[in-house]
Amino acid sequence: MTREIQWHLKGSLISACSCDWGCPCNFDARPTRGWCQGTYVWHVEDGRFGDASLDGLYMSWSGEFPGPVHEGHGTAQWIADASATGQQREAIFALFEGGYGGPFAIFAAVTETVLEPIFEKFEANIDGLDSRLRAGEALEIRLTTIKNPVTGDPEDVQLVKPTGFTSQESLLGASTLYRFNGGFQHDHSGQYAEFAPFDYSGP
Amino acid sequence: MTTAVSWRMQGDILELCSCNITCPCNYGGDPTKLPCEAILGFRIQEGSYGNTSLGGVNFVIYAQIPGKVFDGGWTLGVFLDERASQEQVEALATILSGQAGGWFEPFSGFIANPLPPKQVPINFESVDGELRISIPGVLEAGSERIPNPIPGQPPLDTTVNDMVVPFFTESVHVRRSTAVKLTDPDMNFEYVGQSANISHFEYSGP
Repeated sequence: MTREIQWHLKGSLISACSCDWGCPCNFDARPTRGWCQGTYVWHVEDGRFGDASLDGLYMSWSGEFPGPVHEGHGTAQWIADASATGQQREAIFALFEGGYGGPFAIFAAVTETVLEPIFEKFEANIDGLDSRLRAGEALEIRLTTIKNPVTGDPEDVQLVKPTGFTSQESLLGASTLYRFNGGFQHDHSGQYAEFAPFDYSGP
Repeated sequence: MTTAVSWRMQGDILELCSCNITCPCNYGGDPTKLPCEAILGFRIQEGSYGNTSLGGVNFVIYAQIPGKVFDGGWTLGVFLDERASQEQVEALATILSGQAGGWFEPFSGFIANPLPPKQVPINFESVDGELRISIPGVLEAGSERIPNPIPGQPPLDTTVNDMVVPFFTESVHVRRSTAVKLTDPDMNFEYVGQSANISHFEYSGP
C-alpha cells in the first residue's frame, strides 16, 4: 500500500555484489554463481520525506538470495546513518519498510527475512568509480575502474537500462574491497561494482 | 609489418560465446568457463581497402581460447564470403591478419594456431532487429532478447556503451543465443541460451 506522503531522494548510488564484471542480473540473466550477495549504498544529496530533510544522509541495504533477486526468498539488513535525528530515522525506516514505493518497495517484496537494522556512522569519499566508503565494522566498499587488459588504460563502461529500478544509467566497474559484516557476512572483493546517480520520489 | 593502404569498413556485428550472459570478457574479466569458444560475425555494409570496395561482404571469425582471453594461445579461423572477389579476399586477409592496422593488429598477437581461411556461403540476416548467421552444414548462429523475469512484461533491451573489447564501436545490445552450432572439421562446439551481443561496427586503418 502506498501512503500519501510526498518524498524524494536524489544522490549517488554505490553497489557491489558477488557477480562477475558486468553482472548478468543487469540483463535479466541468472547471477554468475546462481545465487546473489550484494549491497547498495545511497548517499542522499537532496532528500525529503514529508517535513523531514534527509540531505547528506547515507543508508545501505545488504541482501543475500538463493537465486536471482526477482525470485525472492532473500535475507536483508539495512544500515542507517547513526548521525540521523529521530525525525530522520522515522522517515528512513518508513521508506525501508516498503510502504511508500520506490526501489524500497521492491526490496521489501523480494525479502523474506529482514534483520534488525544496524546504526553506523558512514565515512565516505564519493567520487564515481573511485569512491570508497566504510560504515564502522559493518561495511566497507572500495570501487575502481576496470583496466583494459591489453593497454592498462581505465575503461569507461556505461550501462543504459531505462527500466532499471535502482538507477537507469550506471558506470560499471569493479570492487577492490567489498566486505559486509552484519547478521551475515560477505567478502566479494574484486567482483562487480557500479556507480550511478539516482532520483526517486513518491507517491 | 603494417601496410600503408588506408581502409575502412562499417556494418553489423554478432558476437556469441560459451560464457554465461553477460560474457565478463567484454568488461575486462575472465570467461565463465574454459575453454572460451566464440563466434564473431560481421556484415560489411560499406567499406573499402584502397580502391577495392568491401561493401556487401560477410566474414566470420571462430575461436577457441584455452584460458584468460588476453593471455593468448588462441586457435582461430576465418570464414570469408564465397561472393568475395580475389581482390576483396586479399584485402580482408591483409586486414584480418593484422598487417593493415586497426584493432586486428594487436589481436593478431593472441593467435597461436591460425587455421586456414575458407571461402563459404555466409547468410547474414536481420530479423526483427535480431541477427542470424548461417553457413550451410557448418554454422547456425543467432541472437534473441532475454525474456523478462516478471511475467507478462516485454523482454528488455538493456544496452552497454564502451565495452572494453575493441570490436564494438557503438552501443551493444545484450542478448542471448538462440543457437551457436559450429561443425567445422577444424573446430566444433554448440551452445544455446548463452552470451550474445549485437551492435554496429566501424573500423579503419592503418
